[in-house]
Amino acid sequence: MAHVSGHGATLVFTDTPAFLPSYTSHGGFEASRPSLDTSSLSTNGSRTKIGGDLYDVGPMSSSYLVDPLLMITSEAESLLDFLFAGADVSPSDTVTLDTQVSSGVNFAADGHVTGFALEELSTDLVLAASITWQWDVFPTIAE
Amino acid sequence: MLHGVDIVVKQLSGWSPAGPKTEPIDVIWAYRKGVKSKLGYVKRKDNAPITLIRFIPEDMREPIRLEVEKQRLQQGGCSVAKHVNCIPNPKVITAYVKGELKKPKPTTIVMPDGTPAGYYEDEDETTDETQEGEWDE
Repeated sequence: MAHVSGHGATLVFTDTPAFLPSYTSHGGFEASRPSLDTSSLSTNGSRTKIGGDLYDVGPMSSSYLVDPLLMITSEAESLLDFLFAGADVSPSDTVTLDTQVSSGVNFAADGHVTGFALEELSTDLVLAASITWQWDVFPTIAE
Repeated sequence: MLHGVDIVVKQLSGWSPAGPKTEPIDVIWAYRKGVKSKLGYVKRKDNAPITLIRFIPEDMREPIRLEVEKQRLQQGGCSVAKHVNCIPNPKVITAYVKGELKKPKPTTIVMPDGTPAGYYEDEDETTDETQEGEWDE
């Protein structure tokens, strides 16, 4: 068994593949489902539960160092091209998230962008930003 | 084979909760001396650009692109765009963050007398010529 860090992880939106900023982190995603209480007035001792029907796949957040030039729309697949398709919001796109390039294991599925945030602009602080995105479905786990 | 490296293009396939599943993207693998490494992805559509997830020097990207296109077409698949995307060079990022690498500044416009445009030798004279309220609309 080999344990690895997240260093070297990569994220690619395959419809806007030129959007490749210098990522510093990718938030881990989660899948959770409710636990339903089946206790009744005749239950003794402790409550009883059953699992809910569907997992809810949680959102992702990815932080990166900003190159201000990539915010200009004249650059190929800039931030605006990433967030918008013409005047509309970007449609879902196949997203690949590699845990680490050398391990080869990755997650892949359609996903969509849900937000962008420019972080603090301050002296002695490298300009950074983050995007939030969401898998459309539970991703395929592949090599 | 490129410099002792075999490039292999395969459609991404893996496991979903419902069982085996393929995704509409091709994975580009490099095999060298029995070790395989993932180089990048390309969407399964015509004229899709390759995205390299390892930093590959520019002069090596075109041979990879040609090999990927050849294999995709042999498999009855799609062509590949001429432009190849690649993650940033980690060494350049490190230098940029440490302030060791500056982006080139815009060209300075120089006046006929050799001084940069917008530079005034005598600041007082400039002040005298600009009357209060002169720039107000």
